[in-house]
Amino acid sequence: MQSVALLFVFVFASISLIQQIALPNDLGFTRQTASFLNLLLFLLPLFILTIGSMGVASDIESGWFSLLKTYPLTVMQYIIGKYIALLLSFTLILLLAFGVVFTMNGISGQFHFPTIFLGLSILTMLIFSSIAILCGILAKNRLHALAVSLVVWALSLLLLSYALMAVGTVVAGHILQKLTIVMIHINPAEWIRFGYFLFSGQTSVLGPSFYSFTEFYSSPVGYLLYTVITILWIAFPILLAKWLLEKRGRQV
Amino acid sequence: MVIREKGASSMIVEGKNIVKKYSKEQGLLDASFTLHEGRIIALAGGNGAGKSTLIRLLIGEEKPNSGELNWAIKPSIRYMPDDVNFPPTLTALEILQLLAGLKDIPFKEIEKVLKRVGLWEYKKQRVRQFSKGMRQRLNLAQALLGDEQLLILDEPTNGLDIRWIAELKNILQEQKEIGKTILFSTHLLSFAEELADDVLLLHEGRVLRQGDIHSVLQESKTIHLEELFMNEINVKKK
Repeated sequence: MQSVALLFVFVFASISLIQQIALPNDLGFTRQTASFLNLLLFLLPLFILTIGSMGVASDIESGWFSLLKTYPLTVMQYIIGKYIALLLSFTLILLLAFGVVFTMNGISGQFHFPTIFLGLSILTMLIFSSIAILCGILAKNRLHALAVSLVVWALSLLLLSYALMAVGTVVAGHILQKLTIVMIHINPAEWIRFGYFLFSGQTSVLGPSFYSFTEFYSSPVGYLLYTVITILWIAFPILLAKWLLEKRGRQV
Repeated sequence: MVIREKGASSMIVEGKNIVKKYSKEQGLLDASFTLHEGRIIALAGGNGAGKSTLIRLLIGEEKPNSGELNWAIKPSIRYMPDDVNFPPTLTALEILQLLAGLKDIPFKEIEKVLKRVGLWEYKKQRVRQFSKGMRQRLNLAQALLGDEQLLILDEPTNGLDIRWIAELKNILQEQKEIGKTILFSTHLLSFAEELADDVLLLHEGRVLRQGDIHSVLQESKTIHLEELFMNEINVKKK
């Protein structure tokens, strides 16, 4: 885990430094903040998914989980325990990474860091840690867990967006708009990205055709719905993981 | 064939025509048996005899495809798995503290079992630095935590050297003396013969013989379990 933390800090800090040098520094949603947003959204889920899923798969593969089951520990307690451990580990890793980036910024005096990124990071950790646990339980072993988590990461961060872009070339604009709205809800990465725009008051970057959609989500009911869907994104993978693990225990 | 001594202890669990198949030839194919409390019971047989399958059924990790498992009164069970890799970055003490914490077992108990398996002086060493024998002793230590009535050990001699196989016999005798029932699986028939009161001899998913070891040997007119086992499987081959 220590080596993962160092790797994450190194990659995160290096890319941040390159962005600082390469991109102009203005307030608002600039190319620099967009790059930082993408950096967080690409790197953090990748590390959480791979580390989290391999940790769970390793427990099952090594017999450690079978041993734990003979103690007074429920499947739900085990899953919640792994979830909290993953959250705490990545909180420490992120604190270290942000610390390094802030220190670099302090020295160069260049970078503007919107505090909303902290909220975005927490949201990413909450949602993707839950998905990572599910990936680990779906896998047969550690290598399989790595493969599953990479597929989930690629689907969520790349393939679904590319698929939407491809569909956009053949369907009418209003259909594409509806598909995009659906995609925002069913893709955790897009949901987090949308949350960033929503809570930083920058929903206009989505374009005028999304005005009524963004207006709704900017209302108190919209905020409530955003919170409910976020809780579902955390709870559903955990509950599914619990069900699968209990089912596997009954079948093996 | 079931052979019991007169005045034997009461039944703890009875299995009736248990079938648990993984494939045509793997698992338990049709096993009926009775285990008695306060005894050391050897679950003996070769590779693929169905020993680990039976243990997984007894600890409730798996369910049989058919047949019945009837407990007199379901006892509390402590289990030593055949193959467990403890989290390698934790120390022996941390692992036992974690497991003991799940059962509110005091620290004194951890100290006692770690000393009993000879790992107290290595308690702060990470498990990844342990030899196979030390990991197996840690596995045994976790099984000794608590006061469960039934102790189930899957191949406890795996990885142990001569000294610790001898110590294992003493440890299991001590556990019997404090009133526990012990069931262990082994493919070492001489070890089973030296330690156990009862034997459940399995071969290819079926029970060859069961009961008090001395009575089983007397009945089959053999001196050692190995001889009995070889006779039985040769008869089956013919």
